[in-house]
Amino acid sequence: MSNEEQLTPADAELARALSGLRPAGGIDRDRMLFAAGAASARRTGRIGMGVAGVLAAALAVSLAVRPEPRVIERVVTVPATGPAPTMAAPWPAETPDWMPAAVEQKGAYLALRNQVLTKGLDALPAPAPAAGALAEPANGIDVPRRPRLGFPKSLTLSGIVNLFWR
Amino acid sequence: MTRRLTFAAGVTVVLILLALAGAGETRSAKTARPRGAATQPRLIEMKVRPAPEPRFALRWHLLPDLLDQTPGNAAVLYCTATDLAGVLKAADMDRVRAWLEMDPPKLPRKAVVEFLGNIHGILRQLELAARRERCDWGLPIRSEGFSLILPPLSKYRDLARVLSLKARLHIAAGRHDQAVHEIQTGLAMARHLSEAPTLIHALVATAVASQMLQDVECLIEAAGSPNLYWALAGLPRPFVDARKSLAYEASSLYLAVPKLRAALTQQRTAEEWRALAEEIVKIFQVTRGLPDQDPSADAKGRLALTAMAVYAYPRAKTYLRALGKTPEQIEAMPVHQALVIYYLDGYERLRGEVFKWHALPYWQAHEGLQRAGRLMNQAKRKTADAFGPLAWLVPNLSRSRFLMARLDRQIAALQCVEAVRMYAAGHDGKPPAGLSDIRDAPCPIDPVTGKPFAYRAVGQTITLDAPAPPGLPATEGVRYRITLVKP
Repeated sequence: MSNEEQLTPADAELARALSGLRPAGGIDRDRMLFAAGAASARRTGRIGMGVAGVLAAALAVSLAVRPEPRVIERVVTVPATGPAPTMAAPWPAETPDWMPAAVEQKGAYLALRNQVLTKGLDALPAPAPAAGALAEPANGIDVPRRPRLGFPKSLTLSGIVNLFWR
Repeated sequence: MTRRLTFAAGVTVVLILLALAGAGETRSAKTARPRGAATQPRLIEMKVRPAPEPRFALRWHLLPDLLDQTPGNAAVLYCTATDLAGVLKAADMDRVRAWLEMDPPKLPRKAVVEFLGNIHGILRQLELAARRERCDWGLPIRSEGFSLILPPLSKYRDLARVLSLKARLHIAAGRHDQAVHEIQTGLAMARHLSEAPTLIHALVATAVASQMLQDVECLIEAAGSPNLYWALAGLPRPFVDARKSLAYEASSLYLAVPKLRAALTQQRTAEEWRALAEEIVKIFQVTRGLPDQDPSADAKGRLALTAMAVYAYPRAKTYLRALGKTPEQIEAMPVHQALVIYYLDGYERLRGEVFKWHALPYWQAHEGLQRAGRLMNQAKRKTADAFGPLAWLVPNLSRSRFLMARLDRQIAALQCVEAVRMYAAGHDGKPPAGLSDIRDAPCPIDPVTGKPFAYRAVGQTITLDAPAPPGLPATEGVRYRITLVKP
């Protein structure tokens, strides 16, 4: 027995009318899935940014209010093995491993002079560049036109850490 | 993606257009190189206006005035400046060079002001240094001799370029007195460098001064610029006086080994002669960059000394015969004595041949310097010859002397230009028919040739010619083409 047989004529007419209806623009399944994914990612990004911000702030506060390192004084007895070293301690007889072998500079001027006379002033060695960039002179003697703040231009986490670490 | 590509393409097109526009802004054929430039003298074109003598003839100075000088040693401040100049990177200097190629009015003033502001501290050190009463570089040349280690001299050329840029910024803004102030700083730095005891310092001084004289050219071209005839005439000549550095260069052997100084005149034992021969071997090793072996202690050093004796002793005997020694006298000499006399006598001859020409003005010394240069090149190729081992101590001065004379030529030529401007100011803007017509401001001779500059006037355009000296390429000559325009 079909359902239609149980419907009243008015209900049956309504059911027919409804079944004839079609969606106006059609549903794009792929587009819908992409939009859902994007919305999900946005939510995750906001949460992640929030968490990172809270962590950064917490780190910054913890670094700023970090207590001074505790100094523990302890008396240690060391047996004397010889005279105490003085400022005028003699240079060690053997060059320690960490020190490079002395570079022979004999004739340095003569070699440079003959090179300059042959090749011109471009043969003069260029000095190693200083560590500081032009915009931030290495020492405080150079006076910029405008005072510069030591605040990092991009407020990154490492920038904040460096700022407090100094 | 399409939008990004479009944006990138747009930026590229704009950059190319800017580059092309910038290329057109470089100094307009200031130093033009026509076709066939390799065989032509360098051409410098200037547009100048008549300018009378200043009301006070000594109003302008191109070196700091005595009254502006302060006590103290300039070298300390120069060292601070070169130390601070470490912040100048290669890219910064590339920018400075590009700006110096532009005509001063076309400089991007905002960018230049910002750049110079960032190195204000360096420029201040130079300003102070240039106005110190004395400059003692304190180089330990007497103790270190030819093993002296030099400070970073290439930085001074960079500093000169930066000073030059500042001077041109002032020229562009019509602040002529401040432009002259910067030029004074650069020229004083050059003079201080020339007081140092090495030839390299003198060559750097020449380059620095030449850079600053290009600013004088720019200033002379600027509208309303003062006449700098007397300021140029007041510069010392030769501007780079290398007498001190050449005296040290000429004495370098005896500074290093004082015992050798009296070797040709004193009697010595066989052992002493051997010790002196060892010193010559050591110097040869140092000058040729060979490992420094001690002939008295090291097997390789002893081998070098023996090899020298075997190789050069027959030549030494022939040489001594030519000096008038009898065969008996020669045979009675220890081998090492014959060798020392052979090499030292050759060194003294070569040293004299090279350095004697410095006592003369360049135009008289030119030919002799060229000959000495050729002699030295031969000597360095033949180690066994009397000139051989010690020839490397003697500098070839022909090129460096020319560069110093070329600097003086630059000053003299600009002085002639100012003389013409002065003449024109009193003659309705017309140039003289000949340089000898200018009575109130005599024109100097060309210090390279020792002759007057070749002068020609056609209408409002004059040319000053200074040819290259004989034996040098035509490109070492210079031609100034100057157009007199209305004030």
